[in-house]
Amino acid sequence: MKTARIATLATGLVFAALVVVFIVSDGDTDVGARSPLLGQPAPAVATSTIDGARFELARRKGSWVVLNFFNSTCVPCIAEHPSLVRFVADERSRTDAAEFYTIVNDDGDNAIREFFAANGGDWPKLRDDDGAIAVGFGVAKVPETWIIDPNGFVRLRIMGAVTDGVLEAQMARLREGTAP
Amino acid sequence: MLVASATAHLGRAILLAGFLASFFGLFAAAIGARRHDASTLRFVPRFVVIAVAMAVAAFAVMEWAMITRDFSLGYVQKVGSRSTPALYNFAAVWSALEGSILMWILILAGYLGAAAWWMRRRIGEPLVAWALAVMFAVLAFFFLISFGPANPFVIGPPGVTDGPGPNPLLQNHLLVMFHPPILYLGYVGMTVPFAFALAALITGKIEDGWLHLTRRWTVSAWGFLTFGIALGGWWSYEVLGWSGVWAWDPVENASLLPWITGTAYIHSVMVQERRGLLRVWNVSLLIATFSLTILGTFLTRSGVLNSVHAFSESDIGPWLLAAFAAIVVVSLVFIFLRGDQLRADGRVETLFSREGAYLVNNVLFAVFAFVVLLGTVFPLIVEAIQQRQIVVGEPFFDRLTVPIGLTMLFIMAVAPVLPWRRDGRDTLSQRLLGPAVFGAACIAISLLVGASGLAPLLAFGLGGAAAGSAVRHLWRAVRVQRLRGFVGRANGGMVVHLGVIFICVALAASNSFTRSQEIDLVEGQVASFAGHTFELLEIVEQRDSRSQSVRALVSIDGGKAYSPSITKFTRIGMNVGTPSVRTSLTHDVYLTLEPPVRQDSGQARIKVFVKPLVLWLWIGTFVMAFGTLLAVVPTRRRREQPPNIHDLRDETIDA
Amino acid sequence: MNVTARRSAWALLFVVTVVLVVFGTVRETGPLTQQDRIDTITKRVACPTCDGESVYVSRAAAAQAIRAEVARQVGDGLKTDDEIVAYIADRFGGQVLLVPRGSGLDALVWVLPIVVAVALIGALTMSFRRGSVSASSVAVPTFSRRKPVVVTLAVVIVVGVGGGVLVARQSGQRLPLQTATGGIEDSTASLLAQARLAGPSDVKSAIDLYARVLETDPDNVEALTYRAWLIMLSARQFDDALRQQAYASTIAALGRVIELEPAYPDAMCFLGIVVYRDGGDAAAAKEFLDRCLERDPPAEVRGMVESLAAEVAAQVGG
Repeated sequence: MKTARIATLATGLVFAALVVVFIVSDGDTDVGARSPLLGQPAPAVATSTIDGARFELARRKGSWVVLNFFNSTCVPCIAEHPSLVRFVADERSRTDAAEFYTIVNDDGDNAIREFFAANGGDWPKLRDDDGAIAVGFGVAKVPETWIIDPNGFVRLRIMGAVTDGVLEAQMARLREGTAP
Repeated sequence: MLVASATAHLGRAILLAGFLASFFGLFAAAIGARRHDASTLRFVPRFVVIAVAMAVAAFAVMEWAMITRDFSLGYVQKVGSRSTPALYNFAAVWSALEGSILMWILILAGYLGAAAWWMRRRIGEPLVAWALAVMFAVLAFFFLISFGPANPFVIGPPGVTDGPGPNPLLQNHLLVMFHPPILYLGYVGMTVPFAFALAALITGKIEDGWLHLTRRWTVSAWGFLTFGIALGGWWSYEVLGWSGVWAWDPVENASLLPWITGTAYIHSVMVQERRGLLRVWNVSLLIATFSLTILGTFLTRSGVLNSVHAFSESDIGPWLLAAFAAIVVVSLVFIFLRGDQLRADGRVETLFSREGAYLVNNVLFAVFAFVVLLGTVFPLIVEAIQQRQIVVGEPFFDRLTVPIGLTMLFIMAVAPVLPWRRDGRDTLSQRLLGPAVFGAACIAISLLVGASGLAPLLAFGLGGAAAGSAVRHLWRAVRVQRLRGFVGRANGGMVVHLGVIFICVALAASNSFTRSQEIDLVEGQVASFAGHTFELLEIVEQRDSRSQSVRALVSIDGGKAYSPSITKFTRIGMNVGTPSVRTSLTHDVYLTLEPPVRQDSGQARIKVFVKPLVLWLWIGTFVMAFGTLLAVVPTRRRREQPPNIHDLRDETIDA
Repeated sequence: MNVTARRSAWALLFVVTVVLVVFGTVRETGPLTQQDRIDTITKRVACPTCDGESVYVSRAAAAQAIRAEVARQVGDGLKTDDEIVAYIADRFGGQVLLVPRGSGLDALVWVLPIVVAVALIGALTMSFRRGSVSASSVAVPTFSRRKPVVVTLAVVIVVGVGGGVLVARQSGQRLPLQTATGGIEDSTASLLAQARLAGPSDVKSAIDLYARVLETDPDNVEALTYRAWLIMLSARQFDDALRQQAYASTIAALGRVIELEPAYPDAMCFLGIVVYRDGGDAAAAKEFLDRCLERDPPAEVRGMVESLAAEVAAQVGG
């Protein structure tokens, strides 16, 4: 029954390979997440704040810009909020302060207002109707934080909640100009 | 606190007892079988009883905790909730990993008990004893992982008084109660024929008695699996809101894989029963079916892949992978060792005989299984080799499975007409003419109603021919045996084929000819699309403790109002859209409400799908289920004992 | 029914069926609606937060956002299907391409099933052929039994791999794994970005790049502003006449920008700086600088202005 034996061996090898693949497959960890946009000019953002003022990202060239994609019911967003408040306060003490903006992802103006009234954070909150800005950056899940340099290039993408001190450290590193 | 921890400890103690009972039962059966020692084997039924009792008890304890909302248990904290309705709360037990393992144990123990009771007078035979040993081994494994890594009786952090409840997608429809248990009855049911097959390999008793013994088990398990998969498709259609029934996501594929090899097996086994051929194929298919149920569980529960079903990730992955590897290795070793004994005395003479058709069928289904398996695990392979993520989705599977499906219809048309043992090409040209004409007529009719496209037309034509073949067989059987002509394996099988044909034709039609459009409706105005008119009557808001929902009442063709809705589950912050469907024999009008909905604006954006022949998917499912029942009905008055192989008579009508 | 009649019946049936099928395959199905296009595109893109579900299928928020974007772009009618898919892939990464590629490692997923199918069919044919051989012959020399095996193996490999590659090429994703860098935005944004990078160190290139932007988009405020500014900066090294010329054109350009987009801070700020430094008019400069600060300029420009403001104020006061 030689064919049966050969077939059996072949099947066995294939399954062994399959098992090896499963054992070997793994992930990796890093502060900055991958994105095809890193090192590229930032996508255009032209929207308004929840108070109706116009905002255009291209007009902010000359400043470091930090964008935070946020939703008031998402648990990690709520958890990272104090770190963001601390970061913004810290930045404001500098002359070349980074500008911080919240991009509202799938949430209502009132809910945002209530949240920020209760938890602090007086920076501009930008509307993202239809999620066009999120799609423009390739943001699928909140929270995400993006850092854009004064020349308008995307420098860092952080997926998930920001832990304390991370943004300060990353800004310092980027300002120094060391390679990521 | 003391009472709470008592539940947890009780539960774990029960699981441990179940594991020990299975473990000792395994040894009793194995040693007794090896030594032909009747006194050792006498212990086996007792261990069966204990194992079954423990399985039932463990499940009961968990249900009790869930029903009484005992939030001291971590699992109840995860999936229980005070505000979940009773029925959904009952079903919540199997909505996540640990609880579904408990259900697996319950069903497996049930099958073990049933098998042991059915064979209670033959436990002295080595074949039966080894089969029970194998089942004990599998049960012991599941008890062990439930006691260990997938422990459902973990005590959760104290002070928790309520939970989020099961995933809202599982609370929309009563179907959630039936889909997993039925699927499990199918999945787990495959353990029984597998156990007997392995026992046959171990004992070297590879003659075909074990096949006949387990035939009805296999067909029933297959029937449950089929129905379970179809129910899953129905749930996807009615609940998920994308208007489709099958998305080729990893969990669906995991349930489809054992079905594919199982279907090949129940066909190919007929050749072995009749002529003792294709033994290696059959043993391999059966082992593959069982291994794939374990692999499927691994893929969906280890978090290796994610999908709409994967509720949790756990460190259960390595255990399942190890179990899968062990099963495959042991089985392959035995096939290797017993290879010579598996060799048949005769051979398949010609491709154009019934045996040849079944052989071709095996090849076809093997390729089908390979395609589905490869597509499901390929992203992992690429990630392991090149550290980048890719997705293999519907376009891949559709492209490759359509030709396979068409070939399947072709074989369904041709095979029932082929004779055994001899070249049937002449016979074919005689018997197949009628069905072929019917097939061509189907193409013509479909063209008249506007069909187009190569694949759907071929599906209609081949489906028509296959239906003609099946009806021809049934007609001849009924002519001779009257009502009994519907009953029995071959005839029931033809009814099942009819169901399959309905499903294939319905899939071809709804996949190729669905039309859809997003429409902005304003209250009072009428919009039209695809020959139907839609009028937005009003937008209704509803609020309760768990959720708030917005429904749009839309009148179709000036008649009854259908209400697609969007529900926001406030506790979890999850938005769930619910479609509303108007069904008819010819087509479904499927409505969904598109976000964002502005309640007071008097406007709503809906998406309309017009999907032909969808009802026939469900009609086909019931025809398949009915046919399966017909197939397992005994065609003669049965003695209590399963028959000896020498009493086998052919139950089919053959010309 | 006798044999000839049967054969003719089959022949007729075959012809009729072929005609029907061909007719059905080539018939017009009606125009492709926008919704059809949207559905086709969204079926090719995977939802980034699910696994394996297409954007068409998935109800996740991210999928909805992508669907809205696709609907927008299809409505605009400017891009082809491939371009829209590339737009999404450029942002979410190549992993949202749902159709496996037709070349490279990914093509294996197309090729392997074909190879397996052909191999199994080959084995099947081999076993039937060998069967009839071994039944009739008494002793067959081994080498002649090996030859058909080798031949079949070769045929299997050629047909299998060849067929597989054909299927891969035909069905596989044709978009490259990574689109060319810089192809993300339209060329204006990319030129502006390059110009800005060049800016301080390579003024000439920067000015040229801004000029190129203005060729296609003469009202681009960023290009106008920064070109004017850089021209003024570089003109300071030269003689008076050139400086006067530069000054005049800079003022004109900045004035035009302020007309076009009054809220644009950089233009107002540069105007103030230039008026003071090159025009010598402190009073006017102060007014411009005040207005500039009202408009919340970005940090770089703000820094320039604030360092100057004190000096200007002193001049005006004193």
